[in-house]
Amino acid sequence: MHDTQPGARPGQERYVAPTDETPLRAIDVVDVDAVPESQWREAWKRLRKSPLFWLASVIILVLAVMVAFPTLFTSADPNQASLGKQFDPPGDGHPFGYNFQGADIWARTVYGARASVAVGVFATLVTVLLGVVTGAIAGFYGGIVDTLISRLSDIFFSIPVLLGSIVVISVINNVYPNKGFWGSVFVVVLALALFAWPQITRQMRGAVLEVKNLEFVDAATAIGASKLTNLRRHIVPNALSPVIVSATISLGVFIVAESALSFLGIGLPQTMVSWGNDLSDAQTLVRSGQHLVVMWVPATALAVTVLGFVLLGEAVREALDPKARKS
Amino acid sequence: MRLSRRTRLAGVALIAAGSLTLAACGGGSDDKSEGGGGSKSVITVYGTNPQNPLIPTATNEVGGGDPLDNLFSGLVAYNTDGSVDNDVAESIKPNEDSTVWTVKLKSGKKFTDGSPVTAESFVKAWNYGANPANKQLNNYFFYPIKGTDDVGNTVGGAKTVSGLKVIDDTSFSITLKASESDFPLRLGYSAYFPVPDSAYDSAGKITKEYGNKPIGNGPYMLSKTGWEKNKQISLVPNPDYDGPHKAKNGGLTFKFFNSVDSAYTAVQSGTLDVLDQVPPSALTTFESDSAVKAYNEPGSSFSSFTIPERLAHFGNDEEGRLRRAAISEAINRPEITEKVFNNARTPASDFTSPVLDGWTDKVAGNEVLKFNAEDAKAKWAQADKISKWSGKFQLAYNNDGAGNKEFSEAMANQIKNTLGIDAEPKAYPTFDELRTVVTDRSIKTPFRTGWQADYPSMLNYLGPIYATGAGSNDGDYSNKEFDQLIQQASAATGDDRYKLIGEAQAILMKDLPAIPLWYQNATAVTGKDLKGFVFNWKQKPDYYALSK
Amino acid sequence: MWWYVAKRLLQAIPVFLGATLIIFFLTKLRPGDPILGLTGNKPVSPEVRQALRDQFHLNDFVGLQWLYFLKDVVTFNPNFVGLDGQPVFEKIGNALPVTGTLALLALAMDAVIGIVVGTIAGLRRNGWFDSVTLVISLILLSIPIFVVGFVLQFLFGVKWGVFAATVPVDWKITDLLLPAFVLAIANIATTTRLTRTSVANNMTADHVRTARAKGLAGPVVIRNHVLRNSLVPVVTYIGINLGSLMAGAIITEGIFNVQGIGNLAFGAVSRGDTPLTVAVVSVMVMLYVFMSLIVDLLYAVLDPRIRYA
Repeated sequence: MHDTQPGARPGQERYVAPTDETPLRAIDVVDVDAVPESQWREAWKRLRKSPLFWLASVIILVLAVMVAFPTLFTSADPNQASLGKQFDPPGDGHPFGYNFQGADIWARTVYGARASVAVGVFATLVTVLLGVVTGAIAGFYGGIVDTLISRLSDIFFSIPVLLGSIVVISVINNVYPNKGFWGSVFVVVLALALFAWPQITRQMRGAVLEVKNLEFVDAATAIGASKLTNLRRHIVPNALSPVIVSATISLGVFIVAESALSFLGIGLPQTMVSWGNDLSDAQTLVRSGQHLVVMWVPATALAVTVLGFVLLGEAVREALDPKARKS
Repeated sequence: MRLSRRTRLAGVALIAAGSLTLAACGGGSDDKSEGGGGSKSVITVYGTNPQNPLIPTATNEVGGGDPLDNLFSGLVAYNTDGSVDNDVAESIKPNEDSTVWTVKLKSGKKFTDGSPVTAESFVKAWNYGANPANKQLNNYFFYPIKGTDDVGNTVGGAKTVSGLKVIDDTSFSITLKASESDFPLRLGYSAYFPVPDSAYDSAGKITKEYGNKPIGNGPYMLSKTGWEKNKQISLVPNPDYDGPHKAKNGGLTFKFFNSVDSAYTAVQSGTLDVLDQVPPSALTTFESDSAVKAYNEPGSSFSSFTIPERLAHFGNDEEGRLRRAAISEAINRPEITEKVFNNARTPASDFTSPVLDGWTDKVAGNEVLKFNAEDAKAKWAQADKISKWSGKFQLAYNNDGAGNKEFSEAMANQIKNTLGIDAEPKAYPTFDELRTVVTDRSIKTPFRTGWQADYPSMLNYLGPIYATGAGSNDGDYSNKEFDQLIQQASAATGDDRYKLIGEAQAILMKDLPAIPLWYQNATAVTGKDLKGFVFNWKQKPDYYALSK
Repeated sequence: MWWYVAKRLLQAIPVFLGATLIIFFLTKLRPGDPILGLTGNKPVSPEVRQALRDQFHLNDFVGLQWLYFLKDVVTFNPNFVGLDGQPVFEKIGNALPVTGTLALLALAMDAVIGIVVGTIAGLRRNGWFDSVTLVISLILLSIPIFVVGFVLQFLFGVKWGVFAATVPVDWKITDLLLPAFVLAIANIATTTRLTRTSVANNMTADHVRTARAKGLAGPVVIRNHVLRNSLVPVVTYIGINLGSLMAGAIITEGIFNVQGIGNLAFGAVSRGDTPLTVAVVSVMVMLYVFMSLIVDLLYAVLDPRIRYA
């Protein structure tokens, strides 16, 4: 019963809010080899018919292009700033004007996508990897291994993600103050994943336990498949679908979490161009109600991105979830 | 006696307040001591919960410092402009070379528990502060006195400082390690306040109770409620006080806020009378805010940034001097003070502060503090001929200080745009962390520095920071000529002194051991009906003078 | 039942120990001289430094320091001070009421709005109300809390002046309405979705059909059969959220300047105040463990199929 408790990630779903449902990487869904082909093919068929899925795909595609080729969207340099242009109004090639430091708002938003997406994607990958491996091992082997992994996940689960991440990041940043782009991203990814994996572990463990005793697994054992082969070939792929749903939504969650950390001044270094940093800079302006465009542009970009992943998660869940199918 | 004093005191202030009868009645009953000055209003002022016991030698932060300054009187009292008048001291006289100072106390001065203020009250308190066994945080203030080490602890952990001698009940002498002509200027600082005998327990330690309910000799004393932890400290006028800072209000309540933002809102809504600073979020609006009275004027704190000589390309040589000057000229100070600080800073024209006696904006060579893109480029190019520049120019700042991030970013951008080099700010989360790496010399970038003097003297802005081996010489600057001028200035008086200081500053303008940026303005907001608000040299209001 | 409670509490002990240990060691890894923070960066003599290090057990082996710390936490030692010399539990005690009130308010808004809207949407699945709710909740889920916070703060606090833009130290409950709503927003969206799904699924469940077949009136079926069953996962979600709301208050408290646990924790971490950091996290962990226990028990009360021996 406990393993299927919905929600329950302290400090996380406030931003977006995964629940029992959860999703990501719909494209991978079709790729996942193994398993009765038909299950995935069927899901893909349903997915193709979902307008949510196509809306999400367009958003994510645009985002991907923005990350890969920012110059397609702006010709301005996000790092070029001059106080003389502080809050200058929009002009040719500068559709939203300039911010407090006199940098181009739109250029910063376009280039800022890179950091946010990097954190979201990698934090999800690390979390899923950690969660799936530990969950599968715990569920499959049971006994002392299960107890150990479960207690460990209980411990990390009980520490609120945001609070835990702040501690981890502040410690690492103190020990290694100078990191490049990827180093800084890595630290944030590590901090988020460290406190987020137990949720996936629990889901995976529960799913593995459920699948473990199904007939086709017994059959495979009967025809002499080894334990490990069983785990790899049959159990994990079958248990994967709730995890995929979780992962899609958590991608959005992580993007928001990164911006929340940067907003607190503790995520990505402040010299890095990121949505969180821009939003953090905008906060004093909002208090006095002036130059709100400085906040609106990155805020909208962030919200639309997260919406893309939430929609994708929603679509994938409906495609994969047998309950949703039934109705 | 108590009664008559209070009545008289009330009468004095009432000429201003204008309702004589009521106050005179107020003086009639001893129970009214809470009310202090009768009809005169209690002023609520911004404060933070003191982090240490309220003991003069133990408090080194403003949360405790502000109440202490009002609870105690020192040998001298600071006037609004930073000059000093004798307070408890009748006279403070130097010997010929200003190394031995003899203090004579006024007679009849009392603590609020009735015990007399004697020479022993001072000497015992100072000995206590300097004795490392007592772990007092203000030991640092005793370092000029003979018998202490570099950080102001008694030599070898002795119980007493050998340079302090009680002559009789009302006089004592102070022997210094070196000649110091403006020594008395220090003596109004809270570390030098007297402490009554009743504060000590039988083992000679100042008790915890005293730290919670200090008994002083100042313009105010604790009210019956006194210090309510994490809430407020309330003071009522000391009826026996007759020094220069007589209370013009019916009492002071330091209300504690955890953030300046919320204190600002409290002033707007009329629940707080005085906020002695303005939060960055309100800097652009506070002067036009119709809900408050705004104050904004040049202040005593000096901001700069230091490029240590140990950094490559920034040695104490031709190249280093050219590069420092180029950087300094690449910074458009007025643009930053206007656009980032909304004119709550004033561009610097020297290394001290305009509120001080003897300050002038005509220091030789200070044109290097003016924005001059052409000259900056030329100087940088010239330095490049000596040794080619490569890499990134980083500027370290502490992120917990209001406005630091914004100005560091803006400055890095100016340097980048003017000199065409890669420049960026580098954040340290807290002041502590920045200071740790600055102090242990592990920092590999230039960093922001600043100075707010402990006592009002131009020399206090120069000697402790730029003299060879000085305690706060973060950039390890060393210039014999400068050291000599500072020493001569310490011993000199009057115009001679200011001339020597001017010469010393001219040397700094050439070497730029720190690059002056601006003077922080003193900003404050008060309730609409508050009167008597004036900034003193410490950028604080003279609390005793407030009324409404 | 009592045995179950005891068992759960027993299980909580290793979780508590593990969580504090992890945070404690993490904060210990942080460089920087805690003594400098304590003395306000004035020079300190070696003797004073040594005395302070002794006082904070900084000279002991880290494991031993953790044990000292545990002792202080378990006994709520009033003399246990942070690096600023202030009693830690006094600070936490001062911060808890405002954060607790904030979280409870948010929880109440979450429960009332989420369940009412979710039930209506679930009863008329795929109707216009359901569709509008879906769109709104997806959008609410996507906007970062601090953006919502800023916008509402600007509109209601600054522009229209309906609520205080920031919460004063001597707060009143009305000051907390706006921050509580901001804190609740993401949860409201989730609760709505959850209730809606749960109600919709139950509407087609066999026992509900049976009840209808028996000729029971619509409202009675809905109250007795649909709602009661549907609320089980919803209550779980809401209940477990009290802990997460308190932890998550870091952002909301930052925006509205609420002097609660979140601000305290954030300040402690950024100052490197290990004792305070670990104490706050420990309190959060205790709260979390306590709330999950309550939720499990609620489960038993609400769901007739679950009984704890």
